[in-house]
Amino acid sequence: MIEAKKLAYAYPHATAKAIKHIDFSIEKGEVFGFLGPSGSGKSTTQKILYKLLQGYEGSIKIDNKEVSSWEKALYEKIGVCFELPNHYLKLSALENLQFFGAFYSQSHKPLDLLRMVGLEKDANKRVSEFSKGMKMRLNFIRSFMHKPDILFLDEPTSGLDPVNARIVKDIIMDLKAQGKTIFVTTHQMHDADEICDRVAFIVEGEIMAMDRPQNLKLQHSQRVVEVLMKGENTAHQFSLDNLGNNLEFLTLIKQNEIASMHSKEASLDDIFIKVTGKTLA
Amino acid sequence: MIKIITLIISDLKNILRDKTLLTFLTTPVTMVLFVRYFVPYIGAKYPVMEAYYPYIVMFGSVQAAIMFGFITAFMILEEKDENVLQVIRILPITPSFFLLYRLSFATFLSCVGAFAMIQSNGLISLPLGSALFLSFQLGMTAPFITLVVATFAKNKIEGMAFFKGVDLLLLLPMLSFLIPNALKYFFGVIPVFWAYQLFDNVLKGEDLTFTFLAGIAVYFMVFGKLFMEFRRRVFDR
Repeated sequence: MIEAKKLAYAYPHATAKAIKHIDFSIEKGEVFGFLGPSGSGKSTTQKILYKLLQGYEGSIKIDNKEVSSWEKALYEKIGVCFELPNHYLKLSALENLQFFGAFYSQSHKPLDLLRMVGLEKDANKRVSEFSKGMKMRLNFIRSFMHKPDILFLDEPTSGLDPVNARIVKDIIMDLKAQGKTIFVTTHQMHDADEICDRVAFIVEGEIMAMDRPQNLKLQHSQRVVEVLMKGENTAHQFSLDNLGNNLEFLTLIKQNEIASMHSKEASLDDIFIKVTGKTLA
Repeated sequence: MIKIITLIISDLKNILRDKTLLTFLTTPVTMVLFVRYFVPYIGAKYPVMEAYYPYIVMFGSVQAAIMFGFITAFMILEEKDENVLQVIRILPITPSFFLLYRLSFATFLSCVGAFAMIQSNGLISLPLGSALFLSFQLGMTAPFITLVVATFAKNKIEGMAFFKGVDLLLLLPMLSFLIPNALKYFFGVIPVFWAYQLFDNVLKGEDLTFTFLAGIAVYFMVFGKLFMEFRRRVFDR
């Protein structure tokens, strides 16, 4: 559905490239995450895909058609949730959705969308009176109001409290279940782990790793289990290999009361730091 | 058509809910009332003013027309400030469609404002046909202002400074009436000069063809350049 080959991009007057000959592909119905720190090239890649940036090198295709060849019909096919709120502040939430919805050939009912993210009571309130989180939720629902096949979500949970972030992630999973292709950029590793089928780590315009979160975790985890017994301060460590036949382990858990027991599975944060040498601050 | 109606409705809501834009919107009405009722009152006290009535009406017509240019420019600046232009760029409409709508909206209202001043000033009377030609040419000041302010002002604060600067610039060609020879055509690079000249032609009962067409030509040359600049600096940025 989306395929990039040797994609490179330099901003006008910049000496270095913001994107350095990257390759990736996203299948239909897949949730693909671009993870990286600020300025790593995540949003730049998305902006190339929805044609806010032009003059790229290499190839990037949507539905087997080069992005540069797409005309305005592209915007019926894709939906974009920007990182920062962008609404008519003097119009209400409902008026904003009605306004933007009028430009598409099909559209969800605005009130149904507002209900999905708990904004139905604020439908007639001017957006200038909204909090950042409310504006972000409005950004989010506007991105798929015209029923696009492909969604670009730039930091979709940014500025949201945990309850609303949960709602947004659930809607993303619903959209995936409907067969939508979703390209997410985020530096929230936990969210990426939860919603993405595959993730790519991008740093300084280069993809450093790309795989399913589960595969990355398996590749980079220590195959050990750590057991802490009640009354003890130091944990016991056992290899996961042949653990069921490890007499020392079996005796320990039979004869003592366990305080905690964890496998040493790496988090995406740990793996990102290990692979890229960078943090996500 | 639905797209145009949607744009008009939301533009009107945005104007009516903004104190600054609402002030701009009511200014032409205030000016018509001022010229119609206050100027004759002053004229009665100081009869010397009567000789300047045509110029007062000229000035009033330009001022009535340009307000709609500022309204449109400020709407675009607000869209720039709030990053709404970014969303408009990913709508299935072309930048030309959006800009053409906005400029037509400004031109139409501007023509109406100028026509109201020309027809209701109570100081001088002009034939209906001439008034329509004049209103059309004065209406062209609105897209000119919209493009200048929306392209070169970075935000609404700068927009206000541009508002004052452009307003002064548009008064400058009135000085051409103090220049008796062809040197006055140096002011021709400022498009509104041709509207002033057209006004003068109407008052003197002269043929309007050359001035009208020259004005339209200058406006369209300036629009072409400004449109490209607008796309480069604002829309495609």
